[in-house]
Order: sequence, then C-alpha cells, then structure tokens
Amino acid sequence: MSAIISDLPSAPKAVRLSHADIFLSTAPARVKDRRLALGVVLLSVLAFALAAPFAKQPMAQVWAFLPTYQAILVINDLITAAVLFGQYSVMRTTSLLVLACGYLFCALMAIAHALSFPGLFAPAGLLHAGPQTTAWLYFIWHGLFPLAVIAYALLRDRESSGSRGATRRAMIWSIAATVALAAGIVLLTTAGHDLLPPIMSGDRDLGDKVFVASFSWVLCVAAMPFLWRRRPFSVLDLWLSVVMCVWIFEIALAAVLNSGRFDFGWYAGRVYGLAAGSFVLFVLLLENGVLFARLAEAYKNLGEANRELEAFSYSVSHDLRSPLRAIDGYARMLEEDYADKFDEEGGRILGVVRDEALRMGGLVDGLLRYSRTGRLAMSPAEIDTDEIVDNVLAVCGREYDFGKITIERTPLPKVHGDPMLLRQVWENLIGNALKYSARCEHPRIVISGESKDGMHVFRIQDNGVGFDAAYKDKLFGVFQRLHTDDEFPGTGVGLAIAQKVVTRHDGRIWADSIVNEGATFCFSLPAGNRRDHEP
Amino acid sequence: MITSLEVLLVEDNPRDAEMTLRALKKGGIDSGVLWVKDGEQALEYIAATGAFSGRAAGYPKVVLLDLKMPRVNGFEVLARLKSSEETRTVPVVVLTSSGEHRDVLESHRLSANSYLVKPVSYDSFVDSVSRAGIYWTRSNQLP
Repeated sequence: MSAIISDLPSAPKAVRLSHADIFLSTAPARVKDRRLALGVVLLSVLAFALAAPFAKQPMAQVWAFLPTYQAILVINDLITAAVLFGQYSVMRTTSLLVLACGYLFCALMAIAHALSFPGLFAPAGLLHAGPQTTAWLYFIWHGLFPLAVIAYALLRDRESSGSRGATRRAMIWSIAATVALAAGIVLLTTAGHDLLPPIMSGDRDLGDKVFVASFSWVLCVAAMPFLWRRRPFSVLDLWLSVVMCVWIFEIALAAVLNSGRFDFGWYAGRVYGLAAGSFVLFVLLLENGVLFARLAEAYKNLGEANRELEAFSYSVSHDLRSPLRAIDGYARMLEEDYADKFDEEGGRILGVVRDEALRMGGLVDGLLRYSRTGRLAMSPAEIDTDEIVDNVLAVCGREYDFGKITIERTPLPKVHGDPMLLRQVWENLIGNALKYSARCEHPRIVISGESKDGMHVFRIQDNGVGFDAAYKDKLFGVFQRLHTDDEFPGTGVGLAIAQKVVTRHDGRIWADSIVNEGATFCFSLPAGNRRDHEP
Repeated sequence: MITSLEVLLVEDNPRDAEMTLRALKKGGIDSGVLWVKDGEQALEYIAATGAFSGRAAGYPKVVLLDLKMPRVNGFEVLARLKSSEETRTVPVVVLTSSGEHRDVLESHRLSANSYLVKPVSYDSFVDSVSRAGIYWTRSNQLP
C-alpha cells in the first residue's frame, strides 16, 4: 500500500484556511496569547501601583503633550475601526460592526475632546465649549465604548443575512449613526453645557466628578465578564479584555485618584489610554501580516492545484475518450462486417458493449463540462432572462411535444451575470422539469421569478415524478442521481453544474419535492452589479 | 507513389486512423488518402523530404490533423503550414479528442480552416468525418 501511495504525484501542500483561523475575531486565543495578555495586565497593575501614590503630584503644563497624544489616539482608533470594518465586510457579523463603530466613536470623541480642551486651540476651547465640555466628553466617551464592547460580546457571531450590497448599506448606515451620535454628544456638551452638572472648576476636579468617573468605571468592569463568556474565547476577546482592564487604570489615575489636569495621575492615565488604544491595533496589524503570508502561500498552492487540475482535465478529455471511441467503433465494425456471424444473443451482447462505452463517454464529457464550468473565466453582462428562457424552451421544443405540455410563465427579472453559464442553469432546470414530468398525463411547468431583499429568486415547478425530499441535499452532488438510468437516463452532472454556476454568481440553489406530485427548483442571484468570483 | 492526394491524415493513434479511413471510405473517398503517423512525417511529406523526397508535386486537398502527437504535435504542423506562402492555402481540418477551449482557440489563432471534436460515438464519428471529407475534397474550391 505504501508503495502505491508513494508513486502518486505529490499533491499540493494543503493549507488550512477557514474563517475561524483567519480572523483575529474568531481565531481562538491560544495559551501563548493568554500568557502575553496576562503579562501585559500584570505589568499594568505594577505600573499602576507605583504611580497611584503620586497621582496628585502637580507637574509642568506641557501643552505639546495633549495634541500629540490625542492625534496618535485618533489615528490608532481610526485604523483599528478601518481594519474591523474590513473584517466585518468579509465575516458579516453584526458584533464586529458594532465594535468597529465603537472604535470610530472613540476617534471622533478624541477629536472633539482635543478641540474643546481649554487653552489648547483657543483660550476656552473650540466648538463653543464651556468649562465642563471636555470633562463630560471624556466620561461619555469612556462610558459608551464599554457599552459597545458589551454589545459586541452579546451579539456574538450572529451573521447578518443578505448580499454584499446589504453589508455595504449596513456599514454606511452604522457609520452615519456613529457620526450622528458623536455630533449629538458634542452638541449636548456644548450647546447643552448648562444642563450638565459641573464636575470641573478650572483645571481642578470637583467632588461630583468621582461619581461620573465611577459610572464609566463600572461599565468597563462590567464589560469583562461579558467578554469572558464568549466561546470560543477569541484573540480579539482576549485583547479587548486587556483594553478594558487598562481603561480601568486610566480612569482611576486620570479621573479619580488625581486632583485635576496636568498632575502626575492625569499624565499617567493618558499614557495608559494610549497603550490601551494601541493593543488591539497592534495585534490586528500583526495578525493581518500573518494572514497575508498565509494567504500568499495558499494562493500559490491554489495556483499549483489549478494547474494540476487543468492537466488532469486535459488528459481526461484526450486520453480517456479515445479508447472509448475505439471500443464503440470496433464493436460497430464487428457488427458491420460480421453481422451474419452473430445470432440474436451475440448482437445483444455487442449492443451492451457499445451502450456502456457510450455511457462512459457521456460520464467523462459530463465531468469535463463540470470542471470547465468552475474554471472558465466569467464575462458578466446584463441578461434578459426571458430571452434565455425563450431560447431554452425553443431548443427543448425539438425534443418534447409542447402540444400536451402546459407551460406557465411570469415575466422574469433581468440579471447581471455570465450569459453562457446562466443559460446552462436554465437548460438543466427546464430540461429536468420536462424530463421528469413528460410521462404524466397533463404535464405542467410553471416558471416564475421575483425580486426581494436585493436578490432575484427564480422558480421552476413541475408536476412530474418528483423525488424523495429526504435526499434533497444529495441532488446537487456530481454523479448523484435519485433515479436509475432505466427510469430516466442522465449522467448526474446537470444539477452539479447548475449549483456551481449559481454559486459562482454569489447565489443559492435549492429544491423541494413530493414524490409523484412534482418538484420545485429555485435559485437566487444577487440584484445589481457584483464583484466576479475567480474560479 | 500517390499522384494526386485527396486527404493527408496525420494521426498517431492507429485505432482512430483506421476508423477515420473507414469513415472516409463510407463517404466515397477511398483512394488518394495518405496516413502519416506523426507531425514529423507530415512535415516531411509537405516539404517532400525524407521518406517523401521525390514525391509528386502538389498538395493534398485537405489535411486532417490530430493535435496531440509525439515529437512534433499538431499545432507545430499547423503553424508551419500556415506560415509558408506556398502551403498556407492548404485546408487544415483539426480532428482531435480535445474539446478544450484553449485548443479550439489556439487552432483558430493558427488559422485552422475547421475544428472537429472526435465524438465518442462511432456513428457520430463516421458522420462528421465523412461529411468533412466530402466537403473539403468535393465541394470546396481551391485557388
């Protein structure tokens, strides 16, 4: 056995690349990751313990500190948001969308915070800020982000349904909502300044500030158990816990233990904030680098696999067909030249030889058609579906007597796709409907289509022999048949091809049936332009 | 020595060659057919060199050309025929097992006059080969 295996051509090295492994948001946190995160937390605790006693120590007013720090924070948060939005567009999980919006919100708050900071850009801050504006912005910012983290944890990996267009729309609306929320908060803390209780007196903290800070604090603490409950506990969950942990220290130093702006606690807290803002970004970028390397390798191996497949198909088309032709041809020659030497049984046996050779020829051709469907580059165009169906029915008309078959049609939506490939789907589905209903007394086929939720859905219904719905998952496999060749001839490739074509168009195909009452085949295609899938 | 050649069959597979010859015969083309077993021999015939030095002048009315052959394949024969001013009007019908798109494309790029995929079914095979034979040797007018 081992000798046989060693003779086989070496298959391209398999690369494991499932969604779960690729993305930080789903890759499970390994022991190594947990240790590193724990190390960071312990280091933060140590730094906090060392800094806490000096929190009230006044320091020099370094005016360059705040804009520098805030600018870095804004850039960090924006990049993190962008990477998370990118992951969302692939994974389409609402939880990631919420988290991405959370980071976008942080960036917007950091901008507003810097602009409104008294004495930084204007003596009383920009945006018509009042003396309380900056402090309130800080706490609302530090209170709402933990809420976003909790929402992220609760939503888990619920995949939002819908097409790419729906994903893009969800993203645009969420960004708009986040910007509106940030604008609303800025408006509240500026125009509505006098409605908010005072928590600052100049650069000094007022007593009430502790309560407000505690509120943000509680939310940070509350976010952690929600994150820890997530299963599997991902690398992203792990580092978000670290961020929440570090935020607790930040708020403690910069808002609770200190006594006002520009003291040691105020500076130290901001350094914490910067560290917290960088963790997730750093890990995301690191993971992206690793992911890129793995993708590059997978892409290379895919190229190799495709070339091997190409060579394989080529040799199948060439080398397997020619012996089959010879078998049929020579059997036929035998029939032609020695007809008088064969009795009836001899003729029958020779007939079987020819039939089987032809059947295998059909299978080989079917397999080739199937593999070609997946490999051919697509040339998408606007397609008049009704016209395709007209053509397909006209071709089928040569084989079936349309006099006794009722065909009902509704106008079908136009689609964007590869006309040649989509025509094959219609040929297969209409061909099947005719084949499996032709023997019933009043064959009736209903072809309809509708557009909803950004998808065009087409339906081909017949009243033929149908199939056992228990096997409906098997229907679309290559060479899978639910009828014997004697009942209904076929190669079992048609539906496999239909599925491949529909999948390549980002659509879905499904079927249902009741035995002897008919079958319904449906497929959906995205409405509007779409990016083309490589084979 | 064959004087006026009707068909030059270039085919390495003896089974396919026998069936092709039989199909041509069914179409009434039973003389003036020469079968060469690979591209090298085909080129020697065209150039009247090697085993074919001193053959009668002129070219076949049609070349039935297989693509996949040892040593010199069908594409090379096609390219040579169509790149020479003298032989570029000789009709070449590609007769192959391959229905691969790239083979069809490459053959037409090299100016093949026709491309036939050999069907697995013998009856269809006979039908398409004999028809092609009749068309190119009887109906088609050469310059």
